[in-house]
Amino acid sequence: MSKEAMIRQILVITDGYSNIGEDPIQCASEARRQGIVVNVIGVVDKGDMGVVGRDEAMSIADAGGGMCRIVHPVDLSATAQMMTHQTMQMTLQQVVNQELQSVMGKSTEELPPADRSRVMQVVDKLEEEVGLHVVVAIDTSASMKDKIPTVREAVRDLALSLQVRLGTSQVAVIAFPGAGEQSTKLVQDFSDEVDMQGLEASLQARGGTPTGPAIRHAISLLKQLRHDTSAVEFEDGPRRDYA
Amino acid sequence: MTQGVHPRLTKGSKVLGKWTRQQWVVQGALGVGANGAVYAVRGADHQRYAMKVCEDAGAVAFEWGLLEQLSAHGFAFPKPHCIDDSAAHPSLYFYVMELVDGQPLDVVWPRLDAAGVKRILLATAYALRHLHKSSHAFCDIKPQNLLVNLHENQCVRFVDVGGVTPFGRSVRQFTPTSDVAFWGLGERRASARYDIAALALMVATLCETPPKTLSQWPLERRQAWMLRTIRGLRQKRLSTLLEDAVYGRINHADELIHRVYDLPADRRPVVAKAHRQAAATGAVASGSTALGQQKRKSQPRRPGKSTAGRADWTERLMWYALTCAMISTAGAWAEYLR
Ligand SMILES: Nc1ncnc2c1ncn2[C@@H]1O[C@H](COP(=O)(O)OP(=O)(O)O)[C@@H](O)[C@H]1O
Ligand SMILES: [Mg+2]
Repeated sequence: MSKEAMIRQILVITDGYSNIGEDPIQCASEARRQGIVVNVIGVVDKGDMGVVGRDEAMSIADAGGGMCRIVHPVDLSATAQMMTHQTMQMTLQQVVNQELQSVMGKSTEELPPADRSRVMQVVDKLEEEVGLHVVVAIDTSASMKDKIPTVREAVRDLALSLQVRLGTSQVAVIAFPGAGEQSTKLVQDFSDEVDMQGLEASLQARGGTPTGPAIRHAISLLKQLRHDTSAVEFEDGPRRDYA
Repeated sequence: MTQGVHPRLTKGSKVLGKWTRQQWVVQGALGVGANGAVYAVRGADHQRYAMKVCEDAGAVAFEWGLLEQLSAHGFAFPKPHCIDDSAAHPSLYFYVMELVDGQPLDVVWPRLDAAGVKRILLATAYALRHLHKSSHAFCDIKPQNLLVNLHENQCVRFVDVGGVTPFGRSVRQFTPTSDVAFWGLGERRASARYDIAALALMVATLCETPPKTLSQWPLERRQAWMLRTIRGLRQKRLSTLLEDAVYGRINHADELIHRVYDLPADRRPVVAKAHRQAAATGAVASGSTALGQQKRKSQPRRPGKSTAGRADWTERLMWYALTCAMISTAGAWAEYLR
């Protein structure tokens, strides 16, 4: 696999279920068809997300080929990182599996455990070196008000982890709902750092939960990027969108 | 893949290896972590072992590879025994390793005196030195991953090899309160310095439980909390050691060992009584709760900028009162600090 190979992910952080716009599960399936993994974290503080929210979160992740976890705010940060890491590994394992199948006619699970261990060391190295683009889609509906400071810190923390990888990593952030009538808004375009002041200013809790449109928006950001990747690769170093 | 359910093995369950045809009898659960469950098992040789079980074949194989690699470098981690898949259970992958006899550090900690803390720090520092010689960092340093047995010569053992990372690479498994990047004090990149800082952060958070809302706080406030906790310890030498470590000023386990040897080994706890009570009630140290700690300093210090502002005049009054109190009790404190 070449260095330019990219893994693309969407991370949805929400505390309820969608109530505006298109079906988020269909949007997640669409993402998966485009080779984008969708992960979902449900954040609950007191009580629960409710059965509807929980089921929806699980279904979005299933449709998007990703993982779903329901966590308390304290665990948000660690969970975001664990999921990014594990789903990157899953994606790479799929790639490696395909190669193993074509070369040896065996999947990783069919190999003797000692050989498996060698394969995993390769996967691990690939994970560190592969390019990664993540769109974090943050639910900023009214119910998220108290959780927004935690979410903000978690996003910053995720970027800190990704920054030190050997491969390039870029994080974009969108919020749903957006301003006024908009169902989503771009908080920060792809960058290797998170602009905390920007996040603070633009993550204001209000309104409903357009999860579907948010996933749609994230897909379009990732697709757009694919068009300019070739151009970006000729510049030296990663793109920096702000000073 | 959604919320993972671990295959629950119960006491008496038998696991037959698909590749080695060895049979293991489960004796009980040792612990459940983020990646899987660990069981005490008995092998055909009647010896007891620990078995790590996971649904993810890749994760098991990866950890196994690390354990094997590290077994050539010191004895901190459990000795690897064998890796296999269950012949009967679907997607039950496992490896078998040495059963480490010991209690997690957080269980032992409340009973430790300064001498005990010194012994444990020293053992950990030596174990880290061995590990670092192989150019790997432990990374996920937390009380649950350090098993302590004070009756053994090597009284601290490491479990959970999953976080071990070659120097220079990004850290993927860590515990926020032991992570320098979480505190805004350094990079999340594997190095000897990262581990040494993680150890110091862990000790600080064992001495005082961090407030629940910590992860919502901005970096400056987190740092102020950490610094106050460290500087509030009864043992001055331990304070400066921890402070140097969390600020990344200790780059090598040899230096850490050197510094730990210098610690006093008396029979008193490293945390002063007032401090422990504050920690027990979960009080967030701010101007007033920091009192007990600040008093112990030989020089009165101005509190951090973050506590300035509205509480300013009350604080100034307290500092004044403290300075007066200190002059009269300086002799007593000098004795206490020895
Ligand atoms: N070899 C061992 N001997 C004794 N106890 C162990 C051993 N390995 C793990 N444990 C216990 O099981 C717990 C979970 O194991 P760990 O490997 O840390 O799982 P995870 O990677 O999922 O966190 C540990 O905290 C420890 O208490
Ligand atoms: Mg563990």
